[in-house]
Amino acid sequence: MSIVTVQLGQCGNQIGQELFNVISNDTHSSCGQCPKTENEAYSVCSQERFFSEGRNGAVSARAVLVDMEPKVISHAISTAAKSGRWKYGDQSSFCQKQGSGNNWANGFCVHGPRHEEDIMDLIRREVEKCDRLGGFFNMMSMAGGTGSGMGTYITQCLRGTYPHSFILNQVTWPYGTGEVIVQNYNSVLTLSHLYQSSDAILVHENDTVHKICAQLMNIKQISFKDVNKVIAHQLGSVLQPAYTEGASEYNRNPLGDLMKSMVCHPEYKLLGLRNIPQMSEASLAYSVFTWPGLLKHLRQMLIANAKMEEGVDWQVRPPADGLPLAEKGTRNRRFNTSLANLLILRGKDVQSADTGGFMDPALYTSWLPPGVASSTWRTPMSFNRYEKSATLVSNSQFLLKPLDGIVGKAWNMFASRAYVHQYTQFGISEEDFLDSFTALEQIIASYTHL
Amino acid sequence: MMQREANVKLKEVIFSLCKLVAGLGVEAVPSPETFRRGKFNRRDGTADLWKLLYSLLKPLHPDCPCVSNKADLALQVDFVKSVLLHYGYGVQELYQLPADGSEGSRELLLALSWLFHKINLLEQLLYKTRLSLGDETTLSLGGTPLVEDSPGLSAVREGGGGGARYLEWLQGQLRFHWRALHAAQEEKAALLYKIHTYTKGCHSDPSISHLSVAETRLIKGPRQQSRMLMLLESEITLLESYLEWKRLEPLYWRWMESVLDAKLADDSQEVLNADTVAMASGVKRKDKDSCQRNQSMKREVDQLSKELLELKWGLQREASTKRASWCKRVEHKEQDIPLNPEEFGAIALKLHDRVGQKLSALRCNNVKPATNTTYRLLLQETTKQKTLPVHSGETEASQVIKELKGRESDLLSELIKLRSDCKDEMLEMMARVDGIIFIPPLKR
Repeated sequence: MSIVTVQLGQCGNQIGQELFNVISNDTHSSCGQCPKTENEAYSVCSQERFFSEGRNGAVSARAVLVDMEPKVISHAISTAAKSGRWKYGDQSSFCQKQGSGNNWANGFCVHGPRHEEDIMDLIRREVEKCDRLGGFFNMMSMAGGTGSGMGTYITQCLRGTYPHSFILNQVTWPYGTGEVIVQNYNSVLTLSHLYQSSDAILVHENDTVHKICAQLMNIKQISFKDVNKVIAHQLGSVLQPAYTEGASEYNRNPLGDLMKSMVCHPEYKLLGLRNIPQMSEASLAYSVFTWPGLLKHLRQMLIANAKMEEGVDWQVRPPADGLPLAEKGTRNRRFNTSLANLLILRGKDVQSADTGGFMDPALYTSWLPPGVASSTWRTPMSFNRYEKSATLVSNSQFLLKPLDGIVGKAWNMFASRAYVHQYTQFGISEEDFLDSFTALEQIIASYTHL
Repeated sequence: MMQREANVKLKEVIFSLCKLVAGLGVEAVPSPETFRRGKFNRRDGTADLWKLLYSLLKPLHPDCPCVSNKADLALQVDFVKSVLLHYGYGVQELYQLPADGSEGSRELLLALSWLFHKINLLEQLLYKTRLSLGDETTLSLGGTPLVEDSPGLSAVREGGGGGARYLEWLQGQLRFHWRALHAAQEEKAALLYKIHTYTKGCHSDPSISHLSVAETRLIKGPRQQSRMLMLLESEITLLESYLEWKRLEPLYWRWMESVLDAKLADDSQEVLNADTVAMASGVKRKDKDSCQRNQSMKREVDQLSKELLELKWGLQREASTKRASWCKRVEHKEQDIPLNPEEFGAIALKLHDRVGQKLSALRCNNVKPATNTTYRLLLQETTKQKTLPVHSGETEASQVIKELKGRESDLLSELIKLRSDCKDEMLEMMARVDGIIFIPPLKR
């Protein structure tokens, strides 16, 4: 069961290359604590999922690289080839000579339709190499022009061409104090359109990852490469093989299983990731973790809406049992209600890990029983040299505040029609803006009343 | 002498039936003696006959939730009665038999024979125990699925506002499951195609020319061959016992006639039960005892007959009013325009055509009963253009695809119409409510 990755724009291509790196390294490092059969099953599953074998045994990633400028793509391809273990396919990239200038409308209305045929052709070739298509994983940023504008258009095309496939979009949320002045417009348009065609939207916030790099990994000069490595590590911990509950073989339908547990309701599609532990490689050798400790920490991170391990507010508690629905308004405002949670546990003694804390009905909204809302995947294989690693994929209110912030700022700009002509000249009318704002307000309202 | 010969023959017949039934996998097969005693309505052996009926009918209705696996005779009796009702067995005496299974061996014999004839019970069971080649695919053609009273609706009633969101969640989950199933089927088809193309020319039968999945597996694992051989041999024995039964079948029916005669003779002597309750009520005791599925079906049949009656009266009313108005219009027209015979003939013909067209348009959704047939897939060169009807034994895939696509477009147009009706209804409702704006979701 194979996943076709579509890397869109600068951000998508850089993170994508790091992701394949992480996966390739993880697959090739053998896990000392697991029997050989386990190792083999894990690597075979992972290989089939992300790589295809060419005629001469060359391993190439199941990916399509799309960008308007050639610089990032050629860098990604050459870095991959240098690794010696894997590379990008020879005919899997598409680029032009000139970028989109951070203009969403340019990407969506001009570049997208113009190059649709070529790009869909590349994707189709990749799909045909798969015995069974497990779905599409699209990586893009939200604030730029190519990644967000053209990426949204391509996602729409994918939905039209492959109506029954699973489509997971990974979007990178821009820095709050980002350099692109129209990033809020771009974000609003991207999210509202992605909600139509994508099944689930997995969000990474640049601010959060930056903090992780600074505080947890002790990196002094944080470059984009460091940020991308962290994001790749988090994504890899979700996408690498694992056992679903009660299964005896590695799951062959990872995207489908993820969606089944998390995004069944059409109004709630935003997913967040939390992964612990995260630390610098130097400290890795000296740290020992226990599952109860990790899980308790992760649970509090979920409840208190903390984005990383440090600075978690341990005072926030879920509401007491039996609190009637009418008093929901008086609930602790800092408490983060979840719709659904997925725990992915990788490493030593994983069977002994007790995930009962996540089945507490107080964590969840009232209309979904916790037996349905909470699921766990496990594997005894360690991931990326972390002896124990726990990831939480969560469909909860965690993005409410940032989303509200973005929509607010975008609306303020729109009220004075600032920079709107840049969009209208390419084909995005004011009506489209209003539709997008309405859609996002609906999403915010749905999550607020969770 | 003749009598003893007849007896011996009869024993042979029943014995062959018992052998066939045992071959079909029924565990406790009654002895031929039980059958013979049944003709005389003996009480001993009745329980065995109930168990036999249960074991024969259960494989055909595996998902009926009302029966547990335990050998509870009362439940088995109930199951058999409900299945017979489902097939339309109209003999009231059977439904009045006691639930502890102590009486009525003769009725059971008659019911068994009725099932043999009516639903080809033995043939259906034989079909089920066939050896599978792995190349099969099931086609369900025709018919609209019955909407049963699902548990989701009760969730809405109980859960208030939250219940609707839970339903949407469940629907989304169902959709994802369906997509995974779809992908798995596509994978299966792709792999099957690979097997068929790679093994072209390997089969001894020239009309088939490629190997099936089971045969390919044998090539890969020669050790499986002995097991396959065993399975084939047991299937051959079963078919041989079926042939033997078929040869002796006429004698069985003659014996059944005598059983029926015996019953009628007895009935005329017995005092008829004064309060002969209706057939359905014999089964419908308490609501929670009766089979869930039969209940819902009964409800639907009642609903349908009520609707049919209403429809009939409505149509009659409409027709009479329309006819009255038309007659008036025709009268007026006749006064205005003097018609000569040729003109009238031409106009009448045109009208006839138009009416015929409209009627044929109405008749578009010819509701065929839903059929679930299993076909074996054969990869063949396209030789002659044989257009065989889909329901015959053999058909072309392109033909089936065409019919399925037609079905799909019909259902799609129906869905679009239902959606727009729903939208109109909602807009109407919203218009009556003040202070609320109805914002439809973003256009796709």
